[in-house]
Amino acid sequence: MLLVADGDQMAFSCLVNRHQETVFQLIYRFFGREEEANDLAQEVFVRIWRSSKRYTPTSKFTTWLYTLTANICKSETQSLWRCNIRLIGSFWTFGDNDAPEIPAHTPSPEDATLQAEQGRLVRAAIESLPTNQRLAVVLRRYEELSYQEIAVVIGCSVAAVEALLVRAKANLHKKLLSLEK
Amino acid sequence: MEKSLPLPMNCTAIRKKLSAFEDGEVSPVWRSDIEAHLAICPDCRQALADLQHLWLALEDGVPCHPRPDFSQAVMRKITEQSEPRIFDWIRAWDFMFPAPAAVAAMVVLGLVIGGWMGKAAVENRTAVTTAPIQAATFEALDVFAPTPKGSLAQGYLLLVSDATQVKR
Repeated sequence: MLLVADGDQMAFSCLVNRHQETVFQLIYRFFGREEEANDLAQEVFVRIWRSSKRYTPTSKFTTWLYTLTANICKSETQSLWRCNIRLIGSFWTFGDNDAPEIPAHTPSPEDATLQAEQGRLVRAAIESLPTNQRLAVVLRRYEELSYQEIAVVIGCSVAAVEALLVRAKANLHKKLLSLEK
Repeated sequence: MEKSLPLPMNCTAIRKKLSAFEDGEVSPVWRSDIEAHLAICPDCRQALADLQHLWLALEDGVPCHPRPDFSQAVMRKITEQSEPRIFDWIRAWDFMFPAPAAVAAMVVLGLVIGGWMGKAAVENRTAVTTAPIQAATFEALDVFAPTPKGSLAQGYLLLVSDATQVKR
């Protein structure tokens, strides 16, 4: 990261290759949309490049990376354009009729369909959560961050993280039950 | 529909900590209390099992990965960043303000600017109309300039000219 601060594009390219999967997966699980995840993940790294000169190694780089990614996720949920698109898109969200993608390595098409359907339900349930609950769930369940780390990323106390996860799990439980019906 | 009975006091406190207990994020004191309670309370054991089942159910399923040209796309964007584009300004504005707050802020800003401009216009018009009158007064007073020293007229002139100097 210090090399990146000096303007070393090769070092920056290595950094992108090393962390792109992490950033992409976090954003994809937050929003549930591949196209948006690609665009926003690219935006994360562009911001890293722009702010590299202000970076000071006071904490782990990954914590800073997660914080930047979380801030972009929060900003995007508040953006004007997204509000409009969500309003228009809400007319078409009920009954997703698109055929699920079948990856090549699954044993059978039926299993793959079930797996894809389960994934769709999970993404829909997570996307229904308020922003901070959604972030807390994604960071805990998929990135396996500790409560302390999540508190730093989201910008709240450990007790607040605990409360967020309690509420998030209760909401997810209700949402998954209703979606399965 | 059966109304569920309120939980005993212990169960209420334990249920609140079950999520953190499942995540391994409770203190040693809490851990031993919860484990002791779970040993004797089947309802709380079931609640813990539900939480564990929920966590397992959040398995993603179909994996998703960034585009193959992700890295190249990022490098392309950072080399283009020096050229300001209209689209970037719109996106930057859009990132800065959430939708409802943006509308409220624009309304308040419009009222403040409109009020300030209106007030400035009124004050300016008042200053413009009074200035010629004052100028004429100064010129008119010069007619009485050659008055005898120590006379009442001179005293009056001095008084008036001092007052107008102060105003100026």
